[in-house]
Amino acid sequence: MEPDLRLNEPDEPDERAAGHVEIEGLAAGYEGARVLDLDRLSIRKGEFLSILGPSGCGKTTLLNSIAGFVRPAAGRIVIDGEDVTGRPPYRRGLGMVFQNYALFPHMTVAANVAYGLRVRRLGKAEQAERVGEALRLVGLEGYAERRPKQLSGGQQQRVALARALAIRPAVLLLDEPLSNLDAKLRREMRVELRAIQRRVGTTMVFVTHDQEEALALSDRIAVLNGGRIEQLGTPDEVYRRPATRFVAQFIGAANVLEGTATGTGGLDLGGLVVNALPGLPEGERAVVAIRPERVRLTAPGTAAGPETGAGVAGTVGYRSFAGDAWHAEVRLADGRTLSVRIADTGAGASDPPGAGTPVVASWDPADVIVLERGGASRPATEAR
Amino acid sequence: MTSAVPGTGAVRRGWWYVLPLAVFLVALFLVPLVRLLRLSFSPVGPYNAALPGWTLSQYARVFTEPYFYGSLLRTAGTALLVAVLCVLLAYPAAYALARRRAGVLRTLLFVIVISPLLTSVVVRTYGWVVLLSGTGVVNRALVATGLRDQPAQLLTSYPAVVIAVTHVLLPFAIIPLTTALGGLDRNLHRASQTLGAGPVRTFLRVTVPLSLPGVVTGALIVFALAMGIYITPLLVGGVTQPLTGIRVYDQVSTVFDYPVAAALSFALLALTVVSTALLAGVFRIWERRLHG
Amino acid sequence: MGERAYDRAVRLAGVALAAAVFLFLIAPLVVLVVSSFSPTGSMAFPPSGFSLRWYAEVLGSPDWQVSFRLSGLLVLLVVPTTVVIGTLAAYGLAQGSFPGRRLLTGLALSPLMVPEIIIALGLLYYFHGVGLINSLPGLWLAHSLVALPFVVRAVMVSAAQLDPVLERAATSLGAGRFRVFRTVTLPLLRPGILAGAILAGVTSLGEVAVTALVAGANTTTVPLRVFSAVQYQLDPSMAAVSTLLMAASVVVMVVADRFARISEAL
Repeated sequence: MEPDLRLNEPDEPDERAAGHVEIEGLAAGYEGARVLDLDRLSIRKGEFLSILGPSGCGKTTLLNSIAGFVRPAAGRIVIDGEDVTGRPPYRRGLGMVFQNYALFPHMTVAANVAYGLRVRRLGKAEQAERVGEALRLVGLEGYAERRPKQLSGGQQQRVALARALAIRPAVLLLDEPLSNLDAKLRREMRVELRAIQRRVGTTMVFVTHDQEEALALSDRIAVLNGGRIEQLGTPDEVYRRPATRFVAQFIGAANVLEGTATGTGGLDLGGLVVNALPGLPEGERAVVAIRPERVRLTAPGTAAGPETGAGVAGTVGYRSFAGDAWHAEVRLADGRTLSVRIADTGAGASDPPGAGTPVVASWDPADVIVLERGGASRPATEAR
Repeated sequence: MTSAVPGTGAVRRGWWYVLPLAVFLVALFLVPLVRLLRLSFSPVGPYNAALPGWTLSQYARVFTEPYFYGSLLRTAGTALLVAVLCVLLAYPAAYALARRRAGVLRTLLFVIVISPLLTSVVVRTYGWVVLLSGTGVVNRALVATGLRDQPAQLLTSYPAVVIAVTHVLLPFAIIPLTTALGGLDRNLHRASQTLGAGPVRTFLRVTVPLSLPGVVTGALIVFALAMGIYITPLLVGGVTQPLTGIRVYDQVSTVFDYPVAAALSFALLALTVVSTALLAGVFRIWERRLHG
Repeated sequence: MGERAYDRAVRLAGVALAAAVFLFLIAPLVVLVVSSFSPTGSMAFPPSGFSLRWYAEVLGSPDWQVSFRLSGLLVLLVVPTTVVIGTLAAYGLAQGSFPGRRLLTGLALSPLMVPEIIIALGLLYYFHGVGLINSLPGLWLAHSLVALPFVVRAVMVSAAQLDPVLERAATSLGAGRFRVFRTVTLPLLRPGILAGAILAGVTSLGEVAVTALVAGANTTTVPLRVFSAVQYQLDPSMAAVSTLLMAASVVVMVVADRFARISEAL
């Protein structure tokens, strides 16, 4: 039940071992107001799984159900073959890192880390050894006798991690643990968290609303929306091949277009035709997505590149500089907008034209993601 | 605190707002106290009338006659006992109140907790008089269950005083403790649980240590109030109870010796201030050892 | 399964302890209310039947009528007095900045911590000198003194949370100092003022410790009359009065609430 910290045998997560944590038919919340409704989620041993979704999507409820703080209305949670659904949190052998760290303010760092070990009645010597080991793991060897309030946010975060890892949990649950840190520290902790996970090999379930964080850290990402899993896959899968419109828009804020294929590589959005699409049979309904960074802007009439379709004409609505890139918004003839991201090349060579300038937005047909084909005909939805 | 910068806040001369209160308190609180202090140094003549002049004889009486100084010791002991009882009783109630989510039951429990504050001390105490009287519920239960052959003399006994005073002051312990418990981060309990600690260990190792500030506040308030309470012990315990408040009342209402009553009052005040400060100091050391 | 049973036992033990404490708190009050409906002169519990005989007796007695009128009048005098003085003071103490602020805060709250017998004796001796013993103004002032710290403390809780930026915003929009106080500060202090008013009313209605020494034959408030009577007799009429007194406290709370809602609507 309690795997080793495995400090000495760095191990790649074993992709084949399945069925470590099995969640089946999990439902939580009240009848009529289901916060969570999961068919099935299988977490593999040693993997880093992110639960990604907007606030209110049920991701915290899912985590709290696994931890045992929320009693699900239906379903089973099985960890290593044992059904833990009805067990109280303190008999599940899981570790948890809280968003606000939840360090015991009346105990030293060492006492915090030793807390779970004392509960397990480990000998003094072993306790001391494991506390030292855990603090070394997070790089806080010298801080054992400090109080939590004497530490910075990043240090508190590390203590919380050490405390949870010291009990050698079967699974470590992390509830948005990086969201209280400033941007620079957050990036550093992200790298370190991943490194620690690689070293100890503990299965980690990481809840976040930050897509960048999920993409950078995870072996797999479960995108949650409205209490259901929209997509479960590796970071590049969910980014490159989003399964649903929601995933495409939530991760990478893609432009989503819905219309009828013209048969000549165009999509009729209802009066307005957008060109440069992969071949779709004429008359078929389709929903497609185009990433903002895949869109190029050229002046109307300029010869387009050989691989470039005509795309669609419009005017620049606004542009803003974001350091490494420009963000622009192109207003199309029917009023909808396309968002465009243009990497900055320095010296202003790639700057998009100013607001009000007519432009042609174009892209490589290979970059167009087809989300739905032949579905029921619905009114065109907004493009962002 | 803020708005000290001239011309930026609505309150620049905040003292103006405090003036009515200051006048009121000086006229009705400080002046009477000072006059009472003066009285405590007055000699008495025939029929215990206060005379002009200065003497320490009233204080000499207070500190030499066991009738007086014994009551001071007994009062301090009683206040300490009541404070301990109140904290012990307050804990389960405050815990239940703090844990319960908003709803009808929580509102009801809260009303029960503050109900003694909203009813006259006379009413609350009278309830105990009824409960503890010879034909009261407690005695009938004692006889019915065969614990006693005949009704016990519960009224006018020291235990009755302790019970009634504890009841009257219990809300003052529950309220700060509920605030302290309610302010605890729920994640601390959850963290303790995920680390394997069950409800009892979580309570003893996390909840209790972190709620100590509320315990201390409640204990000090109860102690200070118990030092000066006199209506409740008078009603359930009778005028013979050796408590200072009752002795003062007795001196004023039946002996008419105001100067010695005044001296006894100030002895009580001094004892209250000193022992409360002492207790606060002990608690502070204790807390510092715990919280670093 | 044994583990589950242990968990349940722990929880049940906690609930049982809490229930016992709540019972301890409420028992004397419940016994009084129930006994007040006794048809006989005995305080035996539970009573042998139901009657309003003791209420009729109490409400028909001229002595009690005088006391009820006096207690009601005192509440009507004490609440406005303490709310006005206490609110102004709490606001100044919480938001002002002037030398002696801390000292004044301590002074404002000190009547709470000074043994009640000292306040009573101090006022008794003082009122003797100025002829306020056994008089309505004397009781008005005495009750105000006892109730004032409750009001100050309640309003200070609200006043401490008051963001001075809001007042600056109102000033920047052209409001004068009085208008700012009336339109921004007072509404924000309302919860504290309301709580203070309730506490003041209930305190005055139940005050005995000081009243017992400064009142007299012509100024016997309801609780004082109960106090005197309980020392000598035990009959359900006292229970009836106590029940009425409790009911009056509830009325004070409800009226304060209603009053607040009305002021909100205006």
